[in-house]
Amino acid sequence: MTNKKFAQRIGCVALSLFLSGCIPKSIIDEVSLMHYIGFDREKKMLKASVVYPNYATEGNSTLLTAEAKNPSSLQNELGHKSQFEYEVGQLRVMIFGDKLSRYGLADVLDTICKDPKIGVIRIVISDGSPDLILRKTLNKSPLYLKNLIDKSIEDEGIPDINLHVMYDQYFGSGIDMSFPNLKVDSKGDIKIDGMGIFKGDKLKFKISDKEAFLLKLMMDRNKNGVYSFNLDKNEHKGNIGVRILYGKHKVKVIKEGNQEKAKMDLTLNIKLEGLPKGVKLEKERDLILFKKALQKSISTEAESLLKDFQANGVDPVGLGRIYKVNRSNYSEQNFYKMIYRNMKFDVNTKIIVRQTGVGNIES
Amino acid sequence: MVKNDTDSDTNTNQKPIVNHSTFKEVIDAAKKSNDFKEIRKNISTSMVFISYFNTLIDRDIMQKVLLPYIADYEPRQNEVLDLHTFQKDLPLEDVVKTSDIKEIEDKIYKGYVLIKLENASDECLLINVSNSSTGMRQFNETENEFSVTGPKIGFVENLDMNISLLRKKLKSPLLVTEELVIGTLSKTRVMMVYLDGITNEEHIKTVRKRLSNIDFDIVWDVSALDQIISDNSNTPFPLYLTSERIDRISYTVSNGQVAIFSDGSPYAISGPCTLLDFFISPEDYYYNWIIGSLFRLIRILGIFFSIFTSSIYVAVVTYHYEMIPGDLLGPLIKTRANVPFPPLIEVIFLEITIELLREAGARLPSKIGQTLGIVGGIVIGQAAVAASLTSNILLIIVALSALASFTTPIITMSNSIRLLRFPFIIMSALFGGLGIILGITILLCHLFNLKSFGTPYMVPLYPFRIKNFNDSFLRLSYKKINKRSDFLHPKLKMKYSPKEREKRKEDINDE
Repeated sequence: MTNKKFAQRIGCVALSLFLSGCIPKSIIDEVSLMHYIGFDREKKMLKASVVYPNYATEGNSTLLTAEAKNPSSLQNELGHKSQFEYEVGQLRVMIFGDKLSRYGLADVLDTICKDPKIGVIRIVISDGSPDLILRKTLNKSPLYLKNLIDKSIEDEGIPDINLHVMYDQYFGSGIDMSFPNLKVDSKGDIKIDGMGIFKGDKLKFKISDKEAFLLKLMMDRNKNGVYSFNLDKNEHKGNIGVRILYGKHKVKVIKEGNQEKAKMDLTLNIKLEGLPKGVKLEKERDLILFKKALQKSISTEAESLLKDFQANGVDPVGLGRIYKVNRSNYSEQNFYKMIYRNMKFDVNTKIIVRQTGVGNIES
Repeated sequence: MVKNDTDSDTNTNQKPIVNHSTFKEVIDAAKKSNDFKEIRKNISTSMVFISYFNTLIDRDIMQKVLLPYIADYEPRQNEVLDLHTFQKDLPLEDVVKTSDIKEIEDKIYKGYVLIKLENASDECLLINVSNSSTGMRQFNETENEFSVTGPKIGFVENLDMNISLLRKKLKSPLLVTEELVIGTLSKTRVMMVYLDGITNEEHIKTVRKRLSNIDFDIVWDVSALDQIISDNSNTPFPLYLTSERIDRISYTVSNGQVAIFSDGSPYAISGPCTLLDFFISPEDYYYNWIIGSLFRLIRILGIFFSIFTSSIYVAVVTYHYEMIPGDLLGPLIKTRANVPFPPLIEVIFLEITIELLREAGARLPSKIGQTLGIVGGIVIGQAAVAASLTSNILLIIVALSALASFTTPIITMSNSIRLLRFPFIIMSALFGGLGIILGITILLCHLFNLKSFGTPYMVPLYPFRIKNFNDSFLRLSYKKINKRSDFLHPKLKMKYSPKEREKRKEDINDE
């Protein structure tokens, strides 16, 4: 090796050693990691509430709030109040308050979608201020809220919404955003309560838990959840909870005459846990009767939910997207102004009873 | 291959070797040493000089065979003693009659007895009564490459013993040994061993050429030869397999590699070999192939674990806190909260502690070494955590990665793996995950460039040879590994041909 070459190599190493001082470090115990952040609007200002877990001392989490006129100065305001540099890389849940949701999320969403440190986080909205909910999590385990939402999505019939799905729904055409809704119930517990359906960046209206589950059936691959309905046929009466194990949904937009029609086929595999007195599934007649009643109930409720969406001018199912697939001259504006308004809905449900539990309770 | 070709001219002009041209000079030079003995005997009119180094010869042979034989001549006063008849009846095998001064000088320093008649010409007799086993240890259990099952015989410091051990394993006329003498001061006997007609001529030629080109003073150990004949001396990786196990070396030789032994070294080196050869333990072949393959895979996994875990810890804790799973955040932060150092210093501190423990354990007698391991491992480790010099999690990581590096059966390779950890830790402290990737890229570029006796070092991976996976990453059943590796270009491909077993279709109930 010539001397020059050697000097060059040494130079490279030395340079990298010097330049390494320029790399911003974020040593894990010297940053303030936040798990939850809530945004709301208060007196025409943007208000953020942040929950920091105190891992080092194993104490309760800390809630900090700050107000500012725009999201960037909000970060600064928060920084003034925290011991270490504040980092969003471990953010797990983002909550938007009711007021901000109705006012519009555009400002906040534009800011967070530019930050690569924010991973796949859950986004929810809340009845009232997110402060109330975050305050309830302080004495719980640090990831309490995140686990609560994850579990609800996993098997309690809430559609799977996270940051990436949100980007797709917000920036993509032919579909509208929808977020799970959190509230604090009368006993002071945090609880998931239905969903909020958005039009653009504004909250349009909220739907109930049951409707959220129907929405999940029409959107998600995971269809785990419990559907309850009233069986009222012949002499069989009672309210039945049916656990849906898995299934498929198929959505088509077809033209019927000069009207577009959304045809939705649901195939659901269910598990029956309890039946009202008198219904015996061993009997062919009872089984058919029960299946028909359930199929009808799901179909009509789903149709009425779709009509609800239609009446409010929102499309969380993404019918516009499905319509777009086969049409080259699709325009989002045109679709929602002309076609979606007059669309007809037809939901067909097919039920397959997979499990009925062990033993025959009645005999 | 090109190396050592220009050495010949430098040899000649700076050889400080004593150059005795006459017999008298040789003897005078030898007489300067006190262990050189000269006996004069008067046999039939002529004076006989018997000279030798009494430290080199075997006294038993000297006193029971040679001296009585000479004493036999003393009564025959009338006969004229001449060397020819003397040599003919001598009951010893290695007797040389020569007048070559150079040869005489070489041989008396190897333990030959010189017999010269005073009046006769320059011719004299050299009788080999050297004792090759003086000062050599007799037990030959493997000391460093342990195995639970299988033979535990290893090589010793005696070359002839080693070759005889190898011949006991490979009782084949194909096994050929070629002896060279290397070292201007040590005059060490070095032997290259190969299977004639199986090992490719190219490899034999390369090894022979590399060995004969060596100019060196003392061959301390065969590992010194390893470094001198190496294809690339600027690499942390050993390019030739070093082993003290007979089964390991006989396996490589039977595969078509050339093994090199050196007198005074309990190790043999074998090449050309590949990176994956270093992770083969003879034990793999003593277990069932499923278990053997599993252990081999675990060992290979251990390399990655050993090289990368501590650097990944540094990268994650310094830069990429985003990728820590939520449940791990608590324990990580809690243990690190009281540590005053940045992660780099913390890791280096602990890594060096482990290296110190290992080094101290290796230098100390084995009984103290064990105690030190326990004291160091448990007491220092716990105390370091309690004094919040390091975090608990890091202690586990570093201890495990040290443990993983010890699974490598060949010591030279396990040393290189432990060395590699440090550049990776520094790279990850400088550039985080990017640094680790950069390090991997540089490492791979280096590895793919390496050659062992002119054959590529990374063989089953590059050039890609799917068939060699049989006996590199995995250890398939003996039925499947009956061919020699392609990369060695053996002249005979098949090792053995397993017979098809008759397929029985017996039901267990038919008994």
